[in-house]
Amino acid sequence: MTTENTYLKKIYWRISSVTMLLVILALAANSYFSHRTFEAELVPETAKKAVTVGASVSNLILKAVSAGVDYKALYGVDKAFTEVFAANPEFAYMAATDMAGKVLYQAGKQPEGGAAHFASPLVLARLKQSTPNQDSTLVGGQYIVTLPLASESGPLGLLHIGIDRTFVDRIVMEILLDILVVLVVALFFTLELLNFMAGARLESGLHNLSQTLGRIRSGDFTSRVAGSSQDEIGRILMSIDALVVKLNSRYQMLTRDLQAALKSASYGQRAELQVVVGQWEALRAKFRFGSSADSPTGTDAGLNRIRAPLFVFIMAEELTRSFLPGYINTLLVPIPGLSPQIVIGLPIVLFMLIVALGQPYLGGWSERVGRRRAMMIGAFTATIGFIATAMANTLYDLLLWRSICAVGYAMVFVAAQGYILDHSGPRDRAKGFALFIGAIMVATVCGPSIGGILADNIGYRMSFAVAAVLAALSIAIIQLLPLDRHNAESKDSKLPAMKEILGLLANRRFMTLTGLAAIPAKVVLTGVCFYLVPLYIVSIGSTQSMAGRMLMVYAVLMVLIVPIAAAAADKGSSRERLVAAGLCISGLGGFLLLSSASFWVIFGVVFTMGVGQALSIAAQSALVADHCHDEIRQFGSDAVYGVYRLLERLGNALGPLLASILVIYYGYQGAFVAISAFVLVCGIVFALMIRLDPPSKEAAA
Amino acid sequence: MKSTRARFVIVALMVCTFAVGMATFLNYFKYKAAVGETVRSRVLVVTNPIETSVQASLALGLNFAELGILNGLLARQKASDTLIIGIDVFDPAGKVLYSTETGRAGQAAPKSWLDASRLMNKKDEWSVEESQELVTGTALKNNFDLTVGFLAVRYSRAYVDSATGRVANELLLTALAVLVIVVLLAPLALMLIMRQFDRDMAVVQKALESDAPPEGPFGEAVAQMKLNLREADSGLSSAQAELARLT
Repeated sequence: MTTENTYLKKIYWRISSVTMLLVILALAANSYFSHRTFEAELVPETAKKAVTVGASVSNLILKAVSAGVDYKALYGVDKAFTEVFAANPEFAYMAATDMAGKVLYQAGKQPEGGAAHFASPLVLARLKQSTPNQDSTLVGGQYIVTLPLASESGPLGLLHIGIDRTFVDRIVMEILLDILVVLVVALFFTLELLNFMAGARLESGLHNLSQTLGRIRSGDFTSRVAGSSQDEIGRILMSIDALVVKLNSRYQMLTRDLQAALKSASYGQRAELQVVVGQWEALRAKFRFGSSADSPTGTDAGLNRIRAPLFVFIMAEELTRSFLPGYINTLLVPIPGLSPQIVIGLPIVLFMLIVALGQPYLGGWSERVGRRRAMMIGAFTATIGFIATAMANTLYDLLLWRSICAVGYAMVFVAAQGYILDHSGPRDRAKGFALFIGAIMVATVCGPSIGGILADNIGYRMSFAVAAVLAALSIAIIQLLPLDRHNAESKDSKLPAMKEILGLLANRRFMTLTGLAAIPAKVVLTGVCFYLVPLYIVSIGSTQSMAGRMLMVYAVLMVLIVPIAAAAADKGSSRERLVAAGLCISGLGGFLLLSSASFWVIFGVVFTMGVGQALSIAAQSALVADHCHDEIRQFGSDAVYGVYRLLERLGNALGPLLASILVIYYGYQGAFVAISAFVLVCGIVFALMIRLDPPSKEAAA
Repeated sequence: MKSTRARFVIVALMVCTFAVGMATFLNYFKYKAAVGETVRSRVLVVTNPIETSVQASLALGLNFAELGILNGLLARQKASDTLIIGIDVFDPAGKVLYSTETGRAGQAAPKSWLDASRLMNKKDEWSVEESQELVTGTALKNNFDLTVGFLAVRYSRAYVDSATGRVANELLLTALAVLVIVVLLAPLALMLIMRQFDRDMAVVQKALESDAPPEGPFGEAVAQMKLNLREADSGLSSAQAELARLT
């Protein structure tokens, strides 16, 4: 790791830590003051409710008294009080007292100091009031509302209702999980914004500084067109540049003076001047003077610029993940021959299918029209798609609008990949794709969780409108990308030929990797995460926010484990073992649902699947090169990877379809278990097949 | 945004604004739901005697469409809470049978009420938000637990909106106050953190401009660079001096 990278990481961590500390302090202050507002507003409102409930209860008591039953010998009053608690969980205590304030009937936990309060003259004065008072008094952690109990013959006593002070805490605590989600999302936003606002420039500046220092250290004094930023590093670079320029001008002056002296010198003088010529040549041999056509390389600056628009755009789509099945459910229309479960999965299947089949064609198109322009067209198309989705009337038009979103998504996705290829060389291509995947992963962490919160509070349609705003915002950021070359000659990188597809489908080694690892991994992703989790969570009485949190847990595990698994695979851990273990762990998760159907079990399922997927996903495509050496030689690398990617993406489309069919026959829990069993079997068979057919030595070498 | 620190401060402010904004958004909707539920459950309390009365009348064999006592009871219950605008009872076909408003009986209940009553919660309660009023209700059942009709309580939307609006303003003010504090704190906190960066850069700058010994993470590279510059400088000076001496 270079000095500037270590230095940069240190700065990043410090800034992120301070920013997160500020966020935590801000959230804590905001929550404290919001709690006070809640208490100030909700307690009087609940006191009014207590008065209404109290009036209803006192009517029952008075009815019995008017029927001739002695007020002090009523039966079942305690039970009636308990029933009130069941319907009104914010009430903690109810008591009916006599004229002296002595408790005759009560239910719930009497507040500390309650007996003294009931017998106090101030409270007993309420016996004379004809109308109930909505004021409440805080006694031992309960807000006590007091109502007079008066029959036609005169006052009987008082009815006290205790409102648990902690009910406001409970309401505030209900949003604690959402606040935690906001905190996690804020952390990822911090890292993204640091990169977008300052990181890329700082990284580029530090790189230039390091490069310049290294260049001069090696004796290269050629002056270059330095990045003339006005920040700290820019000023240092300008100072160095000034020193170099000064040195160069002195060198040029020496060269000019020496040439002039040699020109006008006599033979004898020339011999003397040879000393200076020797010095001049020694300087030239040791150092490089003059100017260079090379400007300091911006290295990753160009690459880095794709990250922000890509993140914002993908975030728009990811926002909808947690509530899309719920939204489809509200627009459901009966389609003859298709069960509602399959119909709910249709827009997701169609989206995945369009993205899978569209990508090979859109690659060439984006090269022809220019990556930046292609991304803008894609983001614009998706924006229209999101707006139309927000206004969809039935499932039929929703299918059309989601298709438009899919086309836009595929355009941006392919064009962004192309941008990275255009702006990276063989040396930094891996870094470019890591940046690409990083932006997508962070969007998958932030999108579904925030989307779930939005859907729960502002509704599905408005949440799609927010997605449209994000997609539109991405257009503005895409505009900041540099203009690129159009390549009118570029042809579509068409789908692999049928001969190649059939040849590879019949190939055992290739299908072991694709059919037993890549496709099941995608089936789990879209079938379980995009389809089953959002629908099941809501079906057990939870919220879209909870579905979003689950998807966030999955994405966070990906962000944390994928780099570790990738590093382990690069350092020599068996990729085959990682993939097999990952598939088996993913598969085992679903069996948890056989024990219970609770929310925590679903959390366990998502967690296990996340860990398993993260372990296997990084090593999967690398295994194609390891195991399909002969196939690559026979069909070519493009064809093998083309068919591999195509089948993998078709797995994306297959996931929701398979899950919906399983739901029809086995219900949600059955579908989870069946998909898990399928993945587990795939993992075991994969491990056995790989053991029987290890990679060729040539490939391993 | 010439200084790196300024850009970092802006990042911190943007993230804090997002977090506080989201928290305020969540608080607002939580309060809206909480106050809405409190008021709704409060007005639903008045339906208990109506349900009991209907059930008792049906148990006596009376026809649901001919419960003479119901109009009086509805009027009394309406009067028990000033929030209530009106109470209606309608049959499963959507025909209003009894109402606290004269002329309403016999008319069709709004479609939104019927739709909502078909999507009742576990407690057999339903609710609808209309532009002028809020409506909540329950199912009226006979002793065999069969739904014979529905009760609708219309209550003031303005009341709930005003409570929500008041809290929205307070939450907004709280958020703004918190953000103002963050605006004041963020530059200070980041200044402390960025001091090292500033110092490192200042050391490099100073080392370039004077004979100060270069230190910090770039110290060695700067020292070697200066050594080379000095060597070239002295080489040039020596050659220049020699040239001047000879010419």
